[in-house]
Amino acid sequence: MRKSKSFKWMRSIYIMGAFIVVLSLTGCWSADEINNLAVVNLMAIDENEAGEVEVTTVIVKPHTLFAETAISGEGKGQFLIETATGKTVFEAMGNLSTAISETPYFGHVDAIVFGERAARERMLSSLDYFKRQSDFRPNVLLLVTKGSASDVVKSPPQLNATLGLEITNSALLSKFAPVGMVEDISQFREALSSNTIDATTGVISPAKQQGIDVQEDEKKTKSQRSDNKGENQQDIPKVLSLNGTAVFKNGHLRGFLDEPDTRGLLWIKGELQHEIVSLKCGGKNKGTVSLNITGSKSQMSPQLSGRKPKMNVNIQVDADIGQVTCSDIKMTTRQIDRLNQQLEYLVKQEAFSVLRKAKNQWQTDIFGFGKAFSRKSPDKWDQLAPNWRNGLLKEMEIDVNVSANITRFGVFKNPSKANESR
Amino acid sequence: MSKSFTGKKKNGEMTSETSSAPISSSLEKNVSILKEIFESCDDIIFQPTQIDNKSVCFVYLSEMVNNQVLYEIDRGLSHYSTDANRGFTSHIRQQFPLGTVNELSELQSVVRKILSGHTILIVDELDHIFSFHSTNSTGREVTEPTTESTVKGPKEGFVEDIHTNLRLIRRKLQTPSLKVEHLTLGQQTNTQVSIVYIKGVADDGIVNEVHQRLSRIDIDGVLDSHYIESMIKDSPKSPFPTIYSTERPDRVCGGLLDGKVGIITDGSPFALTAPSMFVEFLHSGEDYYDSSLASTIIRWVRFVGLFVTLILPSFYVGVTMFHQDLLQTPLLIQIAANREALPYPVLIEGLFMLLTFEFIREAGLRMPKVFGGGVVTILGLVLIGQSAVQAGIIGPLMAIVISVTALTSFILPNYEFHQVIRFCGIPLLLLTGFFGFMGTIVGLMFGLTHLVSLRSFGVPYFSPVSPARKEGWKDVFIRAPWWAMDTRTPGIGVENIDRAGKGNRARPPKASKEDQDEKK
Repeated sequence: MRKSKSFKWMRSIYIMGAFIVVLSLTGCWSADEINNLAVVNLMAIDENEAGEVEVTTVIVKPHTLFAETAISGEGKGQFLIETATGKTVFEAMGNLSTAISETPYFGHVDAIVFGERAARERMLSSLDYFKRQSDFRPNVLLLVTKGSASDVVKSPPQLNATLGLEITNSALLSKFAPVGMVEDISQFREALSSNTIDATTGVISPAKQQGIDVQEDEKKTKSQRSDNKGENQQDIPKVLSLNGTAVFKNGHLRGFLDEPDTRGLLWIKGELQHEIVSLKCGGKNKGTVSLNITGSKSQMSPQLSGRKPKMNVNIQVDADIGQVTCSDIKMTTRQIDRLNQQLEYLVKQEAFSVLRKAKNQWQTDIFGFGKAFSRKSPDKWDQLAPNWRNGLLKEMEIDVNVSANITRFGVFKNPSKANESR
Repeated sequence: MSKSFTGKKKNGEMTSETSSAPISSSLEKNVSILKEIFESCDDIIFQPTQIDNKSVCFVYLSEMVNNQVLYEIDRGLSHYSTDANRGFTSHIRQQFPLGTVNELSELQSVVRKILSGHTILIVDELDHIFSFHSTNSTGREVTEPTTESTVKGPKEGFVEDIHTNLRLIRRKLQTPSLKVEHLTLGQQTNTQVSIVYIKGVADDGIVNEVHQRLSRIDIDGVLDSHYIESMIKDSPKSPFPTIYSTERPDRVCGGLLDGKVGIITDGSPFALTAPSMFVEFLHSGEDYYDSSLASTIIRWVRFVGLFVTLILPSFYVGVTMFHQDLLQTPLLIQIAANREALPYPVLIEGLFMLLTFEFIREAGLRMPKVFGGGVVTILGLVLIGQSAVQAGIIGPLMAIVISVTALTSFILPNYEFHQVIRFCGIPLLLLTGFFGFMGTIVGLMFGLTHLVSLRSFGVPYFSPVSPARKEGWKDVFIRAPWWAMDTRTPGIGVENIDRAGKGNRARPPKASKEDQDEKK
């Protein structure tokens, strides 16, 4: 009795021991220590003259980025920027990884920037790579730049730790504004593969191109200059800004919409929520009334009665008054009505402008008209769909009705004046 | 070892055999039998004397008796004279206050009384022996419990003396339903153990089970209540305590009112209450004396603390070794910067730090108080942690993680439970180090399965959560205000007994008819 009991004990101890030995043999096979990762923060994809893909990765050097808390290490640059070429993105990445001493880690890629040429030629094929690599998050931002993407990602972060964070923050901040058209990779892929809507995404470009003057503290500029000695300082933009929209058709970049056109697009989609619009005072007055758009809604009602499809778009715009520079203006109800009419006219103009460009010229359905049709009657949409981008969209009549509503001017109606009596 | 044990056992049996002999009426014979039993016991005193021509003999253990009482006995007896027309027995009955004197007729109980500090008076030509209560009760005074201190509520704690402890309980529960049953355990120690319960509230089945399990105990000595605890607990191989051991009389009384059975051991300031649920180990005595809201919040803080103690080190290891995606980008870069030049994997770091913490803790506990245990502990933690980080052996975040874990483990109010949870963190850490969060989850699942399968005296360990008894949740996830605690914790005592009336909640008085008329 006693013997068998002790034997049982021994056996369980043996099993435990074997288990521990086996564990230590396998080791931590899928483990990657955090300090053995090359954290890729940004990727830029370009196409060079020879038609090869040029992939630029911005790798964080943590010990220089957080020098105060880091245990060791002194370095000049905070980021390691490496560029490699290949026939495909995957091949370029393979070439690149030979020059990186640690495992490249894509889990924290914040944004992928496509150069104009790469966006025109290689959008679909590149997306395949990002889909297959399981490291990438589905909410990586996708941006397009006019010109070379690698120059854009080389610019230093100004207010955040990394440039990726900076782009993410500004995209988040300008959501529902004409500059915030940035889509993440999963949304973009969904729009790209859908036949009811065409994909769009935001455009990023150096702030200087937008007429924004950037000046930095003297000291910092000096130190940066010494950091980047030998590099071509001119090409690297200091501050980036988001502006406009990149329009895709059939998986390729079709063209860019500038800011007023983007605004038109957002009017039609009813997604505009933060924007500033200036209206003239009218008459001899040379000042302006600046309006702050607080929201917009749109309703698309497709009509399939005739042979040609028809679309009614009702746009509702809410605004309040931001600044009034007209010298003599009484904010009466009539005046507000007049401003409302002006705003309605402006919205209509911008909507028609973007419709001309995107619908008639490029024949892309970035507005989601197709979606409205397919929702109304899926069967008829299936008949329309094959010819949608080959003429049907262009022929479609569009009726745009705008109703603007300026509110919340309160008792503070009239502009500020000097020598006002009590 | 086993040989000497059986020898002791035989010795004990022999003593009981001789002592079960009836008392003879001859003084000399009685004395000689006692002298034989107490052979080589130099601290026993036989004091033959004459009380008015009657030869008598006092027998007592010199260290156990109170000299003052001895003097009083002596004085009380000196009044006796054969002239007075009454017997010796009736004189003693008259002379001594109620309860201080017993008449014994069995040698076994005489020996027992001597050993517990009574003074024995053997009178010639009498067939019974008197025993005077003269125990020298110089023990620790009732002080604040050291292991379970509270801000509010009673401040008294149990002491080593069982009589004091029983008194503390009796004083709180002044009802004849409070039953106290004595047992003697341990062949050599003859330790008094008392089973305490409230008749009609405690489940008879559980009381019987406690009786049965206690009577099964066959051991030479019981020096602390933990001896009993480990011998009567369900699933003895489980590390989790299924019997609550506490130093607080109010806690025991609260348990008794809930239908539990208390076990009090002489010589131990820790009383046991059974059956005990898992959640009880997360409740502090203070929960019931503080406002409902504060107690509820603190209870949740403890739940969080339990999880932090269990999984914080494994979480950190898992995140840095396997699941970097879970971190925010700035935090990832920060951690990567901290860990850039560290030589060891984070798992080794974690084990090293946990071990260091255990060293410091143990050293602080065992260190003589002259050296200032507490100060050394703090200094050790701060110094070693700081310099290990500076020397580049340990990442600063790991130092923070282990410090926080060490701190949160002390949130758990029960010491035994605190130990178990602390040690459970180590296998979880290893599992996470090998398998990532998959390992953590599997480890936690195993732990949960084990916990749910446990029982304490037939009551599921995880009740009233699983099996779900919703009427008990008012004292699990929240601590309901006392006016809402109208039923007892289900599953422990006799079922379906209200503990309070339904109208305990204060309400504005209903306006009587006269008042309404006046208003009109």
